[in-house]
Amino acid sequence: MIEIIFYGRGGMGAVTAGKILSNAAIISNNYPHVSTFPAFGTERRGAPVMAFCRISEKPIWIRSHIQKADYAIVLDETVFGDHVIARIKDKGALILNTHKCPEDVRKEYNIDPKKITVVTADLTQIAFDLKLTNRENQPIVNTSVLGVLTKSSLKIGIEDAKRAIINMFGEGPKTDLNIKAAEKAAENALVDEVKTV
Amino acid sequence: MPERKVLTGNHAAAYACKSVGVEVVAAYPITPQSPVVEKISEFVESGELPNTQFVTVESEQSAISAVVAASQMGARVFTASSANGLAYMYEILCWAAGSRLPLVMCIATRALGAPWSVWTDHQDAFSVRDVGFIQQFVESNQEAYDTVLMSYRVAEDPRVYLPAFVSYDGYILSHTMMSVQIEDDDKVREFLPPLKPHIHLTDFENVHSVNPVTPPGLTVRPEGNTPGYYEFRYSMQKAHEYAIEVIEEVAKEFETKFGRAYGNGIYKPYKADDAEVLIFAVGSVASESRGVVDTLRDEGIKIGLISLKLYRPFPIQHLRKAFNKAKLVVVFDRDVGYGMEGILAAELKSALYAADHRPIIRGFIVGLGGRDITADQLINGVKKAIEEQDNREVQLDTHVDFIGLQLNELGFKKEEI
Repeated sequence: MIEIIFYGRGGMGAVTAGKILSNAAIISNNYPHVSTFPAFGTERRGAPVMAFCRISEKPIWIRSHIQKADYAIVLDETVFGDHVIARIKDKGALILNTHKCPEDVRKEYNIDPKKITVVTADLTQIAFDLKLTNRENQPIVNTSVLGVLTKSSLKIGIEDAKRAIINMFGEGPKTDLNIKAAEKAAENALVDEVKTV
Repeated sequence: MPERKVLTGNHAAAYACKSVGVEVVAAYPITPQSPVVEKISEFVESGELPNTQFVTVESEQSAISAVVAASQMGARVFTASSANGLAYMYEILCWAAGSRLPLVMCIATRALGAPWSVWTDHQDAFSVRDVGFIQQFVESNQEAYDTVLMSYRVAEDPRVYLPAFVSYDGYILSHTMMSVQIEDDDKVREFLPPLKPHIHLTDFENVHSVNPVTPPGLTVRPEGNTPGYYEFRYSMQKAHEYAIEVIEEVAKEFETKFGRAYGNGIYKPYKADDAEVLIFAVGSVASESRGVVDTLRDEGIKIGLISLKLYRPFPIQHLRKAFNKAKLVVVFDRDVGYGMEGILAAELKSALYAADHRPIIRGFIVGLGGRDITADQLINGVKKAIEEQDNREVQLDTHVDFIGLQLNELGFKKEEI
């Protein structure tokens, strides 16, 4: 079982990201069992939110919040901090939406290179470049992040992610833009792997 | 072709209503139930449920009243609610069961106010224990879908004719997305033939009035005596007794047809065969316990789980068999029988009182008002129960240990707790 936590802010679509990832997991045929849910509170736009996603080859029975994640995915850098790093498993990965490179993030937050892989991608910039924004002109990053995930050790390919995005939103120019963003994010992601030596 | 979808528990229940072709749906929104009826109303709006009437109402009491009325017109009906909404339905729930109407209703379980909460526990489902419904708990969204299908079959069986609840944990299932297989309508129709209602209000020949004042004694008439309230209620109890057999039968047929089984339809054993310690729980607590069983098995403890699916009728004989070897039973209740102990713990004790083998039963309270239940907390509970299993003083007490309280973080000192 692989456990993933999405960090974001209310309205960014962290929950939807989890749902698309679940869909992609099933489409990939590698993870027939999924379970995706947010940490429900009194939801407000802009408040920090968390969404949990479990994908597995075997049935999933655990129903509690994810305490430690294989992947912590941060859609909004302003909610990132030590509390996120503390919830990543050994040999797990941090995926951060930022303009910084992994080495700088590692230095700034003192992230152990033997324990956590750091992946960065400037999803916000990608969204602005493609004019992929919502009605309030905020960048959409919850689809492009799936592109980054396909570059990880997850057995989910970019085609699975694209299919899942289409399933979610239907065919159309806006969907195409989301797919383009995912492809671009996959290309541009910077990875600093765990050093095993 | 059956279709695999990623669905929340609420939407799984809505798809089940679509599969069985419900004819009348009335509901009033309440978190976390709302999406189930929102989805059904979408199906009606889009024409995917062309023979379904969606009745918008001004309250939960009206919602259940509307479906009771429609059921008496021979329609297959559905409604759903949670917590305070369910409490507001109480009077008419009794009416539905007393009238022996085969309606199916979902409860997205939620803690009852006060204090106000929208999160899950099982207090609301247990609070309607004695209205006369069949009551079931599920552990996954697939089980929610499947159990709604099976419930119509059971409820509409002339040996039963009772309404049925399908309870799934608010948020933990109601809003959690899982993969769910949606079956072919044709195949579902084979499994669930059209409803043959026992009453139809337009049957003017035979139906002159419904539920008139029914005196304590028989009413003696030249055309034949009619039962008193007492006889009607006796028949309701008998229907519950027959229901157990019917539920088992239907579960078997479901497995043959669709290839999925939930134990025997009554309870789901997990690694229970050689278990010396057994966990007893329902819904989300039971599913969380599966991982606990695995972890403790790795530590060498012979432990298993009895996940109760059917809560009413309470399957006493089945439970006596299920617990006939275990030395210790650990019950996790996401509810409290206030002033007593956990409701499941109390009922299991009552069920096993006359059994040949009576294990030690230790109850704990967990996760009220949606407090996250972690595997570690349950493991600690099991270990405490094992440690204290020969402690007579503990056994003599009622069991109201609340696991996962954070009183010390509120500044209480240990002796005050």
